[in-house]
Amino acid sequence: MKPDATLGELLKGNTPTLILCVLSEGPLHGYAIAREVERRSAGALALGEGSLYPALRALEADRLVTASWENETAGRRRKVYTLTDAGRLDLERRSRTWRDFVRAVESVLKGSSDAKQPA
Amino acid sequence: MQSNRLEEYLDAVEQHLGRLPERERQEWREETRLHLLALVEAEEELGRSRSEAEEAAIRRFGDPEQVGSLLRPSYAGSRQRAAGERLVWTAFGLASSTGATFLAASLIALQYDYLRSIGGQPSPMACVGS
Repeated sequence: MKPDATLGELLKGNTPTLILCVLSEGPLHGYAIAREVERRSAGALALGEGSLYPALRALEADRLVTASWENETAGRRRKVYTLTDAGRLDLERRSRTWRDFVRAVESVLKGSSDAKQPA
Repeated sequence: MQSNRLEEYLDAVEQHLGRLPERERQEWREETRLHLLALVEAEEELGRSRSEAEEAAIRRFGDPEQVGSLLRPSYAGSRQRAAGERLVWTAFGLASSTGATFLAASLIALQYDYLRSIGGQPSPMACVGS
């Protein structure tokens, strides 16, 4: 099945918002971030690994998240990402923008379906 | 134990990442390797063989050129910092060597002056490097 290009573009544009959102409940490593987005969206949003890390690095550069290496019980260590205070504020702003956008698009869609066809 | 197939994939992505400071390169490899291993384990739980699971994990991560090219710009700052540090060390090295040359020249000049004052013959370069 060909992936929906519109969904792909929306996902790409909102990847930082999704990352910040799943990190708002606690620090996670990259793999867990991708799986958590999938879980919350019931598989509808598959955050590609190839775009996850560039987004994480950009968020780190903007100091919206911090990264640190933590040891795990199995002797492995993982790079864990944590939301900063600035990240939390940015998430609130992004959430508001997204909801306003969805409302506006909904209004347009409703308007176009209700509108009479021109003569 | 490291998987050859996963290491080959990391090498392929790295070719498109560009030159990174060594510590960042190692950290990128470790983080990506662990993510790939987690994907491999998830695929194995679905009943795939190890080699099938590795191929599936690599497919899921994406084409090496695309993954490397997407990630490359995010390391631009690190590359600039590393280049800046190299420049400072080069400047420091040049300054040090210039200073050492000046010191050696001063010592030779002093040796000439001293030998001339006591009527002896100078032995040019005799002390330099011995």
